[in-house]
Amino acid sequence: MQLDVVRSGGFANLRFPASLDTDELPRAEAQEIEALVGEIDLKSLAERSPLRGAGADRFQYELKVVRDGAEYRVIASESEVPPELRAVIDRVLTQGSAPGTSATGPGQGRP
Amino acid sequence: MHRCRDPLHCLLTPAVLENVARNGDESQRDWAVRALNRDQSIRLARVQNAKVRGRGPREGADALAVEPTAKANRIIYDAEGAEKVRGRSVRREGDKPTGDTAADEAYDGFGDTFNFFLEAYGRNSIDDEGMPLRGVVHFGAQYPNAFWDGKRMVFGDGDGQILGRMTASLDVIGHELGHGVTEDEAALEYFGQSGALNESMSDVFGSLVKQRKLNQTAEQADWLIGSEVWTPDIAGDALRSMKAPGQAYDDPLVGKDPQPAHMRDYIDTIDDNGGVHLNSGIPNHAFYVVATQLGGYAWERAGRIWYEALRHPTLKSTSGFRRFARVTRRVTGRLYGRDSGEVKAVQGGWEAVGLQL
Repeated sequence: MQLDVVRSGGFANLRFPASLDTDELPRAEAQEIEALVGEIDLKSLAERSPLRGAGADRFQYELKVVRDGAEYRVIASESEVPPELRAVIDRVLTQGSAPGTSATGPGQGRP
Repeated sequence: MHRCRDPLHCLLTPAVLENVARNGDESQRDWAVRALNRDQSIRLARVQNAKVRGRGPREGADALAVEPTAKANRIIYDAEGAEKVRGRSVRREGDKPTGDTAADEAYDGFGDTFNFFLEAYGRNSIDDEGMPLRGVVHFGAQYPNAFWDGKRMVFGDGDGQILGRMTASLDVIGHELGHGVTEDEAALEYFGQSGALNESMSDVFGSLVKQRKLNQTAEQADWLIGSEVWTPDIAGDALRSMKAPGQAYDDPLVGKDPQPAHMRDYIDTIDDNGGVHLNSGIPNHAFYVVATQLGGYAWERAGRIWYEALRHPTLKSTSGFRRFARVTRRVTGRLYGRDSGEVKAVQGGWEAVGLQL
């Protein structure tokens, strides 16, 4: 299962992309992460994306999941991210490979 | 207590009438103020002030329009590293400094921003009705951001690697409070072009708060946003530059400042709510051009024009750059005369970023 996360926006608008392929992880860890992803209602969140919240300068999270040939893309303001989605996003951001931080811009470091 | 003498005005609450008095056209304002005059409530002074504010060039007249009793009501909360906004209050209005840098910077920055809006534009807090200024510091774990959540200003301590304490720059504090003012007035939708305009308004207010605090003219100001927020490891003057969008930083780790300064470089993206912090460079630069063209203190004329345009009834929540630009020209004509140098400067500012009015 391929997971791609992009955090953008916020006051400084620094773009953090990170990716994780569970096929490259030890079996137990892959199963753990796949179970976390299984908690997320990807279909519903993807259909309702982008989920925008109140206020200004919140981070925007994008999660792309490729699972069993199906692709889901969720875009949500930080304030609208449910806990089970946040858990996966944080996991990918801390554990995934990051092509590098860059300021948001056209075609920069797109995973 | 609102006593009802006229059936029509029974249906129109004082809040609605006040809104008309603040945002209606000349005859609507007169009518609304007359209606409210029948109501001997404490609201009267405020509405009269609003009416005076809406009228003409007011430098010098501002002192008369300002409620002399208006005073900041600041409350600072400590989230203690959690992502929560209902922390313990650590400093309330009139309290001595806490000794906690972020809490005291937020308290002082709110004071500077409150005084800026009150003394420059006769505005009494975020909602012009004396709304308490609530700030949350130490939000989240190494949280590299500051935001307005619709009710309060929230500040993280930064990750320490790239970004430091967000309260370190007065213009960041003014920027967040400015989001509250924009939400209360035009309520510009926070994505795409209206979102970039919303962002730009906050950079304008943030920069003006700093300029006024430092007593700087447009020529003396650095026009930088967040110049104290990068850690010393990052090669950059600031997070954004209104004078030179796209040139605030250039660093191996975080890359180069991607902001455009001209419509030909407008960025279409899904990131960042459709590039609200990117394309804000365009109206930011237009403001800089107008302010430096006019010279003197930027908050007096350029800032007043931007503020009045934000409050103008023809500015909608979905308005983009061109609509806003046209409103600034209209407001300027009303304030300074249609053939004034101010109108030429405003037109020139928008033309400099590729917007023909």
